[in-house]
Amino acid sequence: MEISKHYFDTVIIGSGLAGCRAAIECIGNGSVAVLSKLYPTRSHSTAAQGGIGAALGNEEEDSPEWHTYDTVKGSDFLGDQDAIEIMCYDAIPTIIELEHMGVPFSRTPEGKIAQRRFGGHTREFGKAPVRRACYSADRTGHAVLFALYEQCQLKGVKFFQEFQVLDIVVENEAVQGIIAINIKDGSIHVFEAKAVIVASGGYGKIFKVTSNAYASTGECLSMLFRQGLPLEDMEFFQFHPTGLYGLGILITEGARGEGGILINGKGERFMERYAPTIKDLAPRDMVSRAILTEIREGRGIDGKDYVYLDLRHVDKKILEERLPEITTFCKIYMGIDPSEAPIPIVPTAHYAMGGIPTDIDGRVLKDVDGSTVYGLYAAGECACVSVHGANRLGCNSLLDTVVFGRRAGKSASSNLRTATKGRVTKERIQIIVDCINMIKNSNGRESVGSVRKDLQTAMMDKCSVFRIEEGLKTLLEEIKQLKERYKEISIKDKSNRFNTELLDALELGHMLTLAEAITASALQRTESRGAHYREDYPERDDENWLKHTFAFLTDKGINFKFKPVKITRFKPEERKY
Amino acid sequence: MEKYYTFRIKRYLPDENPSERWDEFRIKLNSMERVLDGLVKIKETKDGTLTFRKSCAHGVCGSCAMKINGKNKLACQSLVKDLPELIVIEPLPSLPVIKDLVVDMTMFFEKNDKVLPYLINEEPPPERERIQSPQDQHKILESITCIMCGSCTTSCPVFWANKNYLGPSALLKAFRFIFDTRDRATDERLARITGENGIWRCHSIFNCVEVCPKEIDVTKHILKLKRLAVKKGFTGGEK
Amino acid sequence: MRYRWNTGSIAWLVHRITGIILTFYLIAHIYVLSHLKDPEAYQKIMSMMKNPIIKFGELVLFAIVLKHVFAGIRITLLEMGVSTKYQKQLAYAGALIIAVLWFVGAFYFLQEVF
Repeated sequence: MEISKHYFDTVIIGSGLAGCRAAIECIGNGSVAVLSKLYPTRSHSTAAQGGIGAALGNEEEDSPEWHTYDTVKGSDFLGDQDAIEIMCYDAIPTIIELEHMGVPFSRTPEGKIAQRRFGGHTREFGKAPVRRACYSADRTGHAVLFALYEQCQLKGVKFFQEFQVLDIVVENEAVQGIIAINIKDGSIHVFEAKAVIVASGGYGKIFKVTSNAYASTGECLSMLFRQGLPLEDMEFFQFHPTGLYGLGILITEGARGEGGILINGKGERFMERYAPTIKDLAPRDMVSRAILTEIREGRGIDGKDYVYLDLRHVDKKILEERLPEITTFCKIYMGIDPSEAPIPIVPTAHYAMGGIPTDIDGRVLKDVDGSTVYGLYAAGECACVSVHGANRLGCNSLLDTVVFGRRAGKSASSNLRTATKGRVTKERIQIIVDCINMIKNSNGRESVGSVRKDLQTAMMDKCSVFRIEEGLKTLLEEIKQLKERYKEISIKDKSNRFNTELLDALELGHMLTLAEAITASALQRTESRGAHYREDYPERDDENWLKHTFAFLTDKGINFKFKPVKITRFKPEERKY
Repeated sequence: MEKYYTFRIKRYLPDENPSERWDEFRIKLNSMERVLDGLVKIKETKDGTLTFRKSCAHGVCGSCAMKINGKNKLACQSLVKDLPELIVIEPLPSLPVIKDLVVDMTMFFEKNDKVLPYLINEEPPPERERIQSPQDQHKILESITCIMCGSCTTSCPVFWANKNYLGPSALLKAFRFIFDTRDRATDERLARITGENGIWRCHSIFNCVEVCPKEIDVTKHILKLKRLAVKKGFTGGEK
Repeated sequence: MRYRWNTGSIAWLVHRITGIILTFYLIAHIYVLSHLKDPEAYQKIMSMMKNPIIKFGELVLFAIVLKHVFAGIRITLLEMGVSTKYQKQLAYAGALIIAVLWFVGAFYFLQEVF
């Protein structure tokens, strides 16, 4: 097999918002390579619809302090408050900078960046919804990603398109580089580097119904996890309340921000019962639970397993101007016009709050004591700073990617001078080559498709919005069986060129590892907090569980350690909206 | 409601002999499923070698553009219930094929790079955002929705005949910046798009408009560029 | 499978083909004219023109000219800023006007024969 070697000072994995933002920060300081398994602008950041949060106060009075409070409260007090404060205060210059880079934000009549309401964002510490989400119609992710990618092009960042990472080499407590495959011809490329920034995004594809892309499989997290590095707060996976029924395609929270309401089979605006103050604009975990509770109690539409998102009363002009994308989605996929008919929706797997633990400068932590892996950084959805805690607020994810993408890029660059060049050993490369050959030469009876489908169904059934000990235990058993079946996997495509079947098989192995980490983390947290809801432990338990989970993969299975939550200003209180 | 569909797919597997062939697959799909779901099902259950690009699966990333029943479309946006029982699928026309439905888009992206596809404004930025009226923002509203799937350029007969033509997608990108009130490089861009392979090659055939999955009226944008070029005196690559 | 045709591409193709035919016609036309050296030759040609086959050819030519002219007008209107939303309607309207003009023209042409 052909193997090429490259050297770059900084290698960035992923070309979404976090990856591109980090690249812009790094390009002035040494050579930078960005790897993406897709064409850069196909990254899933492009699917973000609603907005990016910042207390600009363009539409009404707002302050970063309120933003901080909302984020802390939204996180069910599991977010680290020092990091949250940095994010919310950095938000303002960050958005202004994005605007200067060319992001075509929608505008207020005075020509400033337009802002709208979003779930969980309030004024004066929870008094009423506030307009905080800066948006570009309902294509905010697309607008920001294109602008950042374009700036990368302008500054001459080197992109390796359709290169999939096969291994991130961490040896001797430092990152050495990465091993990747050029999808186009199947050749192996080794990138040695001083710094590696992981910005590989989420892993929603572990679940059956998800708003995430086919590419969101999370293999980079698993690669680090398998090398003994921890994954933080994996039990917290956000389900977005409004996914198109049967498809999981996202309908932005902005739809409710612009006045949309949720109604059940009886025609009631049921969110009034669950969050009397901000109703339909409650945080996502609460709304998702509320929807599924309505359905469970037989109040779905016609007793079926969905409810309606009603936009019929929203001004048609607003739909056309501010929500054109979701209007087309409804027309194309459901055959309905949201201005005339309500939209059937159901919660959909959306965002991973957990991930690779990092400090506020994107440095990857190797233990709960705060020690870091030399030269390894992470940012974006794959990372866990943690600013989202147990539940992310809408429009904070784009903010997270750009704020912490920038910080990770900055700290990676500033350490370049003292850093030593990484070295990827031949043995390490051989392991990857062997693994590929093993899959190609396998005569097993299992197919990628069937194992993947069973995994996604099992995760959806037992580890989604509602969880219970019994279910999680069965799920762990099922994952174990799936892992056995995975060993029997074989593929029909033996070629080198664009072998997506091989890549699917490799991704699936990593998805199984992650699924196990999620399930085991969910099983050991015996409380309900944010997106993690245990039916057998329905209450939040601050006394025992106000701490982050660090999952480690050892020879004996998954071990857990815990890191205290950083609490500065806002003491935990009951979370009511 | 489930129904059987026949997918007739143009295959290209360079390692096999002959490398080109047509394959037919019969699969059952429900009325909500899309051509992409059909392709995924075929790959999972019938032929793992079938190769195509995919990612977001709801028409925002632009990965899965292909020729479906003689017209460029996103596989993830084409519901099978709107198509006849026989669905003929080919790669995007006139680009080199890598494997099956995967085409080499390098040429397509290079065209894009030629129009300086980034905001250029070297004036020191103000402390807050640059002011832009909603009316001004609306001028580029349509052009910023482009997902660069390549459907338009590969549907253009001018591009089929002349691979040097910049093509609708790159010209739309030029429009996006030329008509952005915050950009300051209009003249450089006009010079780049008014040469012999630029806007004047557009013959208003409207194939690009017919296929755009984001329903962008690309020809309208190219015509606006033509009028601006004439007004500013750019007729042949320079003033 | 051949790429599917639509109004715009058909209009474009017909515009091209009629243009090419007209170019050849123009060459033939100039060639014939350049051989008109004396009144006899002129009379000879003119009497040939009464031939029904030539008449039929003239009708075809008339259709081609009309089509080419209206295709040109449609493109000019679009380039001058008529909304591209109406590109199809313009093509259909053009076809309608062409049909009407052709019938009127044919009526006068054929009067000369009969």
